[in-house]
Amino acid sequence: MTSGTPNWPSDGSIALSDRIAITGMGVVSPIGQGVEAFWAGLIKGVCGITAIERFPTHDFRVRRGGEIKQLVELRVGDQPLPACRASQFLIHAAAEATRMARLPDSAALERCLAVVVGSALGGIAAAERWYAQPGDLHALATASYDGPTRNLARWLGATGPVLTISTACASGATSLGLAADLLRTGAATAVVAGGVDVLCRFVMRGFNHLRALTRDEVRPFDRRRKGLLLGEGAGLVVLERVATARQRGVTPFGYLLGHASCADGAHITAPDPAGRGLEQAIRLALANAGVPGEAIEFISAHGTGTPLNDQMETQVFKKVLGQRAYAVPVNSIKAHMGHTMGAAATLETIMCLLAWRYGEIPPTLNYAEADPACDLDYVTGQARAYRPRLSLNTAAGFAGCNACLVLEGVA
Amino acid sequence: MQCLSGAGRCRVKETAPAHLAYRTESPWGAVRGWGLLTGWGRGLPSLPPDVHSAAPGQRILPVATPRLESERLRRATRECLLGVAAVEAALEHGQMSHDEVVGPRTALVFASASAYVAANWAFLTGGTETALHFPYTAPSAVPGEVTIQFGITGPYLTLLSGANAGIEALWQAVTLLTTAQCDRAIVLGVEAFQECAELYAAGRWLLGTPLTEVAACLILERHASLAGMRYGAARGENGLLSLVQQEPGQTVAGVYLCTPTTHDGQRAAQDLQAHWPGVALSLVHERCGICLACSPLIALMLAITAGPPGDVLLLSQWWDAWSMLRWPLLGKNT
Repeated sequence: MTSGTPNWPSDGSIALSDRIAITGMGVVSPIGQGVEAFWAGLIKGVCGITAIERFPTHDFRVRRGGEIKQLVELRVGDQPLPACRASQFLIHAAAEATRMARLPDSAALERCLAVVVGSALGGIAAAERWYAQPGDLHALATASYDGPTRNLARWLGATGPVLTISTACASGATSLGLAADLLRTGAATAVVAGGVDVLCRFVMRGFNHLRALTRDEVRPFDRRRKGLLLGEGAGLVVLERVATARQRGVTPFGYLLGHASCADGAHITAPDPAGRGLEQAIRLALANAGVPGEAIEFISAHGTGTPLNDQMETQVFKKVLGQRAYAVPVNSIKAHMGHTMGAAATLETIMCLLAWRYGEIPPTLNYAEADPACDLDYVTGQARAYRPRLSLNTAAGFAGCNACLVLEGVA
Repeated sequence: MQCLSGAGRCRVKETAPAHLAYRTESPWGAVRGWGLLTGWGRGLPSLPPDVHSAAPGQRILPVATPRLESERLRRATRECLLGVAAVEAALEHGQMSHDEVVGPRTALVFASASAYVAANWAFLTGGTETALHFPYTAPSAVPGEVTIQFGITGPYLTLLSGANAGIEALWQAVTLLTTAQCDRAIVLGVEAFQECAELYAAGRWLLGTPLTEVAACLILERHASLAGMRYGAARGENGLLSLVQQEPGQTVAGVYLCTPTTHDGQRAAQDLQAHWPGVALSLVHERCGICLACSPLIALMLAITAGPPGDVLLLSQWWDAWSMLRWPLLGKNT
């Protein structure tokens, strides 16, 4: 096992009390519900991709995805859950994250508790259900993009800002950045933030038309990679200033040191082949964190398994980190559960902090043949014993959305 | 479109590094220019003094679809075209060239409550079974087309928190400017209803009338006055009052209320007048109709042109959540 950050002092350039701490985490994913089950699935290389059963798929080229077969009933309080599946995912993830952060015991926080949710699809699955069986108009109104966020805010009893963002499949990273801004500008004392998306016919139909889904396995960075598969889930974290966490006597899991979301300005679906937006997002996030590129110890890549994305990401990492890029382990967890869209980047953030905590990096599944265009140190086969304190988490989505987070595990 | 001759020309302090420079001479503070296309016409002068007497009984006021000479945009939705046209109008108003917004130092913050609805509804109801249509169901398609059209590669996000997204977008743009992540920020809002008129008719209990289609854009640059900007949000029964109680009333030059229905606006106005007797209060829907996330952007344009100098409060409501932005206008902080 290796650890340590050769090029970044442990006291850092950002005053510790000004840092944004992550004090709680919650997961609903196709490979496990709850942080511990999620981590066990990642490390063991569990694949949550199965035949989709919840809605008809007979007219699609590809009928598989990272579907959550049954939502395990967690202790989520006395209130009845909303019918909206995305809201249910969020509430289950929030129940775990807030319990971990001991938020329910901190009555003072409720006055300034904010909610920021990122989603590529919002409440479209609920709109789809309403269209199939028209009924309650109130239900239709909550099927908007911000419907699941409002349901979560209501369930949490949050009285601070309630924000919904969408940067397509980068939403789960952008939402964490926005949460950090709320904390830094004093608009909130604590924020429950993350991402969510659910599988439904709407999105499967769309990707079916685009022919972007693979009939093969998802193979990030492998020479044979042919495309992605979709998944569903929710990831939420509790963020607060380190000073607030200290006051409450809560030990953080890690810090969100820096963030940025930038545009490609190139194409409505495909990433910019030169990766200009992603490069800018990484550079801005590192600057925001006050961390030099050479200090990065691990990269959780977007790694969708599409020919263009994985090659572009590899090029950008080399451009930003230089020779250091070859020494940094890189992984993608999209082959474990499919691309969970709005949830993906938050789930990957949680993975980064767990990698530091447990001293292991989950493998990139289904990788066997090296691609000359993807020539970095990908973690493949099985989990690697390594404890990365400083991680980079990258994400990208339709309409040229790119996001990057700089994370640090708590020493 | 309103365009004041000579206005918007600013000088940058030559001693400061370009990316940290504060504009010191600007007629509109941090606002370099704006563009406004609505169901009433182009620019602020097209807005009537009172919408209800100007368009009695009308549920939706559609905005004309811009005719843009671009082969690249032939597949783009109406909302995308509106977004591009609003940015063009703002550049013209601020006397800026396209070259000034190209590249990584320009941010784009997009806000909307409705711009994705028509594309989503069309795809959902099966009328558009093509691969070309699906990407436009993403709410980021509108700002995406804008970034492509103008070559913007800087900070970029889409806020969809219903009618509160406009205030959040202004706050986020200011945050990006004051943390030097960009040199200028384009705040863009688009609201469109016409293509889903039946859907909005069914949901008439949620939104007032007239629903006015809008594309609104403000171009912001770093300015000393932004140091006085304050953002706040509160959810719940006393959300509005809990926000304004923290604000020193004697320094507030005006309050602009943006609500999704006339009834909500009147009730909020009563609460505010009880809290701050005599405060200069504007119900934004009386000037432009229900414009959702675009209302705060229009309110800021109205505040700048109305004067007098001082701080204005922009307040917006969406369901049980209130957002507030305290915006310093020229006179006090410059």
